[in-house]
Amino acid sequence: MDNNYADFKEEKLENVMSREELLLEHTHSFIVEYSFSKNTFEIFPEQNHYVNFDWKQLGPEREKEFLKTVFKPDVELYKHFIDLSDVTTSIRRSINIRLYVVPHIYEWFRITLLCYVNEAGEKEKTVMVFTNAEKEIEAIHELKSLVKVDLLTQLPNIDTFSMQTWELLKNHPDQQYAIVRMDMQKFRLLNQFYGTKEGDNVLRFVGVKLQECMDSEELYTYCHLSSDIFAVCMTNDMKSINRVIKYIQDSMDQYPLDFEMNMSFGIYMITEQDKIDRIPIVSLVDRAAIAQRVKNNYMNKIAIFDESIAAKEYAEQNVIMEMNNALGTNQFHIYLQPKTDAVTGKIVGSEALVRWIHPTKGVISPADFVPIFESNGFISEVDYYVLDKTCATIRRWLDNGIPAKPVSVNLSRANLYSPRILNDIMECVQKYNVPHDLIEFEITESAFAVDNVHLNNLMTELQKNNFRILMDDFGSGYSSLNSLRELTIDILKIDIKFLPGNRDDKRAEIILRSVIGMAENLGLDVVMEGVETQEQIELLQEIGCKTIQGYLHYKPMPVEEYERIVCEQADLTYDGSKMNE
Amino acid sequence: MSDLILIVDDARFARRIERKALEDAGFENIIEAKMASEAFEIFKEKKPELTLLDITLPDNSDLTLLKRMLKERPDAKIIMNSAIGQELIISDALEIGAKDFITKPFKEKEFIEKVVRVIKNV
Repeated sequence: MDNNYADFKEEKLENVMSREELLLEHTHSFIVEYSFSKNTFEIFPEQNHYVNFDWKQLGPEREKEFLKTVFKPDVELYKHFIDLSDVTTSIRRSINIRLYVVPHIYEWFRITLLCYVNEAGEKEKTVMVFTNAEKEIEAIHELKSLVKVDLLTQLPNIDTFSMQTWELLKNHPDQQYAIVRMDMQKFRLLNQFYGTKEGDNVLRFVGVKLQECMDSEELYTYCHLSSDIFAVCMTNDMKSINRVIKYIQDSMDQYPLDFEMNMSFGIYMITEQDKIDRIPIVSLVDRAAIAQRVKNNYMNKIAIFDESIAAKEYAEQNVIMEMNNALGTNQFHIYLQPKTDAVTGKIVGSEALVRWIHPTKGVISPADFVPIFESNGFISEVDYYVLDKTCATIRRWLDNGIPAKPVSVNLSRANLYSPRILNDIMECVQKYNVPHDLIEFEITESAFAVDNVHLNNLMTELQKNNFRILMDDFGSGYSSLNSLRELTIDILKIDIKFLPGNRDDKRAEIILRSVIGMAENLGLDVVMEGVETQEQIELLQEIGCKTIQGYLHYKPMPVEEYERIVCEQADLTYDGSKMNE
Repeated sequence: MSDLILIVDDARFARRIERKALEDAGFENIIEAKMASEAFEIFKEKKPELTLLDITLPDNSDLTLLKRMLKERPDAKIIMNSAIGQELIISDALEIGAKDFITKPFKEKEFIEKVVRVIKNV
C-alpha cells in the first residue's frame, strides 16, 4: 500500500513536472532561481535554455560570465535591471533585452524578475523567468520604425525630420541653417522605362549616398519625403552645400544605368524670423521647392529661394486668397479683341478675354493670375464664367439688333480633362439660346500633345453640335504638325512668331507662305494673330490670308466699345444705354 | 579572439555602420580599408576569415578587386556590399565567387545573419 502510494505520488509529481516543462517549452521559457541563504542556483528545465550560455559552469563568476550573453548595447540596461542593492520589500519587474542564442546571433527575451524579501527585510530568493519574445518584439519594433522612417530607404520620414530639425535648431541656436531639397528630373520616365523595382533601387541608392555624404558634416538632419524627393537641413555655408550637391550628382552619374540621372536642388536659407515664428519645417522645404519650380530648368539645376521668389510667392498667395471673392463680386470682366478682314479692316468676329479689375489694385494682368489659376484648377471656374458672360452678351446683341459676329472663348488645358466640360458648355449655351455658329472654342497648341484621343473625342462632340474649334498658338510648340494630322480642327490661329520681322526675312516668309498653303489644302480657315504693322498686313494680303487679329487694327476692348464699333461699321446708331439693358 | 573581418568601403559612414553592427554582435577583430590597393595588401598579409567588399571603390572597377582576391585565395569568404542592388550585378558577383551580396541600406540583424552564415559555411 505504502509502495503503491509512493508510486502514485511520484507519478503525479512527474505529471506536474512534465506539464511545467511542456508549458516552458511551448512558451520558449526557462526559469533561473537563486537562494540568498543557501547561495544556490537552480535552472529549470535543465535542458533547452535557448541562450548561448553554459549553465553548468555556474561558478562565482557566473553573473559576470552571463553578461557576455547579453547583446552588447543592452548590457548597461541589464546590469541596472538585476541590481537589487536598494530592494527592501518583495518586488516584481520586467524588461525586454537581447540575448545571444548562438554565437553572434541575438534574439529578444522578456525577463521577469521576482525578488522575495522576508518580514525581517532579508532577501530570500530571486526567480527570473526568461521568455523568448523575438517575433513579438521585432514586430513591435518594425511597426514603431514605420512611424519614424521611410520603409524603402530607411531614412527618417518628414515627421521625424521635422522633429529632429527643430531639435538641431534649438540645440545650436548660434548656427545658421539651410534646407536643401532635391529630386530627380525625369524620375517618372525612369520608372516607366526600367520599372518601379529599378526606380526603388535608385531611391535606395540616393538615400545611402545622402547618408554617406552628410556623415562628414557636423550638424545636419535629412529625410526621404516621398517619391523621389529628399531633404536635408545643414549649415548655410554655400561651400558645404555645394559639396553635398556635387557628391550627390557625382554619385548619380556613376549609377550603372543608361539614363541621364540629373538631380534638381532647391535651397532655402532659414531666417531668424522663421525660428521665432516656428514656421513648420515642411513649409521651409516647400520654399526650397518653390525656388526649384521658379528657377530650375534643364541647364540650371540649383535654385536658391530669394527675395524675388518671396515676393512672387506672396503675390501668388494674395491671388489665391482673393480669387473666389473676385468671381463672386464680378471683378472679372470680359474684353473682346476683334478679328478683322485683312483687306477691309472690318470686324468679322472676336476673341473673349478675361480681365481682372480689382477694386483697389486696378487692372491685374492675366500673366499674373492665369498661370496660378491653371496650376490650382481655378481656371475651370474662370473659363465657365467667361463662357457664361459671352453667351449673355451674344444674347443681348441678338435681342437688341447689334450685329452678332462669332466670339471665340478659350478652353484652358486644365479644363479640357474635366468630365463635365461638355455638359457645362451645352447647358450654358442653351440657357441663353445662343446659335452654336456664334460660339467658337480656342484650344492652345500645347494641349494637343498630351492626350489626343481624349481631345479628339471632345472636339468631335463639339463639332457635331456645330461649334467650331481653333488651334491657338500654332507654331509655338513642337507637336503642331502631328496634331494637325490627328485632329480635325476648323481654324488655325497662327502664332505671331511666323510673321517675318521685315520683308527681307525671306526664310520666315517662305515658312509663312507654306503654312498658309498647307492650311488651305487641309480646308482650314486661318487667323493670323499679333499683326502690328502695315508692312505685315500687306504681306498677308499678298499671301492670301483673309482674317487677322492684332494691335494694328484693334486691341482687346471692353464690350461696350466693341459694340459701338460694330454698329458704326454696320451704319447703325449705337445707343449704349439701350444696348446694355 | 574572434575571426578577423576586413571591411572595404570608401565611405566612412558605411565602414562605421558595418563595424558597429559587427562589434555589437560580438565580433571584435575588425580591420578596415578604404581603397582597393590598400585592401588587397591587407587581404594578402592578414588573410581575413571574411571580407566585406564594397562594389564601387574609386580605384576599382568591374569587380576587379573581387577577382584578384579570389585568384589569391580561391576559398576566400567574401560578401559583396553595395548601394546598387541591381540583380545583374549581384548575379555577376556571385558567379565570380562571392559568397553572398548585401544591399545597402541593410537591417543590422539580416547583415549579421549573412555574416555568420558565410563564416560558418552554412
